[in-house]
Amino acid sequence: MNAPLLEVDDLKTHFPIRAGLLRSVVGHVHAVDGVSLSVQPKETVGIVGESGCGKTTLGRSILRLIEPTSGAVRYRGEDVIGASRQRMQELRAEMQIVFQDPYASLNPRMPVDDIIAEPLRVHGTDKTAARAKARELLDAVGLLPEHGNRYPHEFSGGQRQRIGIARALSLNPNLMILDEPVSALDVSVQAQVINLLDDLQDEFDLTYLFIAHDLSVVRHISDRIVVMYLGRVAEVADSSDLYTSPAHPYSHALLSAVPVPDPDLERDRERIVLQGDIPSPSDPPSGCRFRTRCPLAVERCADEVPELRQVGPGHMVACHFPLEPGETLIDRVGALAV
Amino acid sequence: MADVKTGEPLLSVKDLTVSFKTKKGMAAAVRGVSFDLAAGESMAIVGESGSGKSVSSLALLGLLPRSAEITGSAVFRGEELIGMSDKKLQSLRGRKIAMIFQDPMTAFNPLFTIGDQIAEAMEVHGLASGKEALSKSADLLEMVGVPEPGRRIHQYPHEFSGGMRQRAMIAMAIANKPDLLIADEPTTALDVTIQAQVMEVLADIRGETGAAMILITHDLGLVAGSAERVQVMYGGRVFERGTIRSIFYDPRNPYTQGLLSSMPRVDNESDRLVPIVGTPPSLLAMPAGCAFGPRCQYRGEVCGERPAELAEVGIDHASRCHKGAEIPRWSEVSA
Repeated sequence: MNAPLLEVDDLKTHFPIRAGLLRSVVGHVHAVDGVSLSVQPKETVGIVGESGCGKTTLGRSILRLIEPTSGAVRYRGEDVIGASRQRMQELRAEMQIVFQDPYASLNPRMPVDDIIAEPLRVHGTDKTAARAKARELLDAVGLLPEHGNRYPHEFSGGQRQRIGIARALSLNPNLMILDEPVSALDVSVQAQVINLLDDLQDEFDLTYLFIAHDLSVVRHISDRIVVMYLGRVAEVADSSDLYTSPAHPYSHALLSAVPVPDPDLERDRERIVLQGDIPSPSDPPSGCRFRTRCPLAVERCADEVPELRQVGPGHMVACHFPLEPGETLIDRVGALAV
Repeated sequence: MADVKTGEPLLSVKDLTVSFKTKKGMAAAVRGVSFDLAAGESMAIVGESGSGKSVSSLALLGLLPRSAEITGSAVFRGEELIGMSDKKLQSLRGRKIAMIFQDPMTAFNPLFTIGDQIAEAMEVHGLASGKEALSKSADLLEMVGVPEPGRRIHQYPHEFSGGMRQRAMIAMAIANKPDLLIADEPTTALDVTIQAQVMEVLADIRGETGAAMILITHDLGLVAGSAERVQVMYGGRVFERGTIRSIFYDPRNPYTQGLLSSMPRVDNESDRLVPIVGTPPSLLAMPAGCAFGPRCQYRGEVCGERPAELAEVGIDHASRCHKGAEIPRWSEVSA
C-alpha cells in the first residue's frame, strides 16, 4: 500500500449546546465521534449516511472549516490540526471543497470568471493570468469560456455546480471534498456532473472524498465506501463488497431501503424496514449507536461499544455480531427466531 | 379501469392546461394533460423540475394562486372540479380527496397540537367532534405507526421527527376515508430508511381503505415499487404513459429512455452513465415544436416545427414522439 494522501485518526467534533440566561453549556452534540479513515492518492472514498450521521461535519472538520474537538488529520503525513494559520492557507490550496447548493455558494454579484479566479488572486496570481486560467477551467468543466463575464443567475443549477467545481479546481488541488455535489440536481443533469467528476479525476489526478446520502450515486462513483451512523463509522469496504456482502446490519438495511427502477426486482426484494427514528446526536445511545433500531441487538450491544475490526481484506465493521458474507439480515433474524 | 357499479373512472382529466401570468409573459406550466384514474388505482406522475407534475394536481384541487389560468376538464365522481365554487371544493378537499405534501413542517400549524389538527380535519367535515374526534386521531396515528399515540396527540409538530410528521400527515389525510390520495413528493425530504417506512405505511393504508393514489415524484426508483401506471411528464406535457412494466422494461420515448439511463443504480455496477445533454427548458422559453427536441439525440426537422401527439404504441401504452418508429427499443439501448 502507498502512503495515504489523507489520514483521519479518532476525529471528534462536538458542538456545545447552550441554554439558560448565562448560556451555560448543558450538553454536547456528538456530531463526529471518533472517526478514523485513510484515503489513497487518486482514490474516491464515499462517505454515506443519513441525516445526523456527521458526514458533512466530518468533511468540514478535515479542512478545519469547523475546528475539531480532538483527534488528528494528516495530509501527506503532515499534521493539519496543528498547522499554523499561514500553513493552513497553503494546505487549503491542495484540499478543496465543493458544496451542495450551487445557488448559495456562488457570490451573485460577481461574474463567474472572477468567482473562479478569486482563489488564485488570494494566493497571489495577477489579475490577467487568473482570468485566463478561469476561462481555461470553464472549458475544462464543459462551459463556454466566453460565458465568463456572466453572473451566476444566468446559469442553470447544473451549470452552477460546474462553476463551483471549476473554482475548486483553480488552485490545482490534490484532494477534493465533494459534499452532496449532485443532490440538488435533476436526474438528467446529475448524470452529466457525475461523468464530469469522473473525467476531471483522470485529467487532474484528483483524490475525492465524496459525501452523499444517495447510495446509488455513491456506489457508482466510489472505490471504497465508509458508512456512518450517528457520528461513528459503521463499516468500511470496497464499493462492490459493501453492496454484495454488507457486514453491518445497518449497511444491509440501508441498502435494502434504496428503491431500484425495476418493478419486478422491487416486488421480489427482501426489504428490511428499520423501525424507529434516528436518535439525536446530542443524546446518543450507549454502546452501539445503532442498537435502538437493530433487529439483532442484545444486552452486550448496550454495554459495550463495538470497535471497528477487520472481517475481510480492506473490509472493516463495527458490530459485535457482523453478518457473514452471503448472509442476509433476514436469514440472521430467522436463525435467531428458531 | 372503471368503477364496477357506474362504469365511470374515479377521476377523468381532459386536456388540462395551466398558465401563469408573469412579468416576463405567460408561463405555460401544464399544456394539455389527460388521464383517467380508476377507483383504488395507483398512478405515478414522474418528471423533473418544471415538468408540471405538481401543478396539474394542485390545479385539480383549486390550490393554485389566482394568477393561474386553468382550462380543460377534471371530473371527479361525476362532478366537474375546474371552475367549481370554493365552498364546494372545500367540502371535497380533505374529505373525498386528500393531499400529502413534501414538507410536513409547513403543512401543520405549529401552534396547535397534532391531535387537534387531525381532529379538526374531521370536525370541519362534520364527521366527528370533540373528544370523539381526538380519540379517533389517536387511532389514526396508531394506524400509521406512530408509537404511543395517546401521548403524541398532545404534542406539537416540532416535537415530531420528519418521518413521524409525515406519518401524522398521512393520518390526517386518511381521517375522512378519502377516495383519492394525492401524494406530492411524500418522501423527498426524508432519509432512505424513513422513506421505506413511509412508503410501507402508504401501501398498508391503501390496502385497508381502498383509496386511489396519485404519486407525484422525481424518483423513478420509488415509482417502480409503488404504482400500477406511470405518466412521464416533460415541459408541461405527458411524454409517455403506460403500465409500470411497459415504462420500465419497454420505454419508447427518448426522454424516458434518457431518464432511465441517467440513473445510477444501487443494484449493479456501471462504468459510465449516459446522461441527457442540456437542461430542462424554462417555462418562459419553451422550444418551438417538441419541448424535448433540443436535448434529443433522435431529433429531426419536424421536431422543431410542431409538438408531437401522444400516440398509442401498445396496450395501455402511449408515447409522444415524431420519431416513434425510429427510436431503438430499450432492450437494444440498455444492452
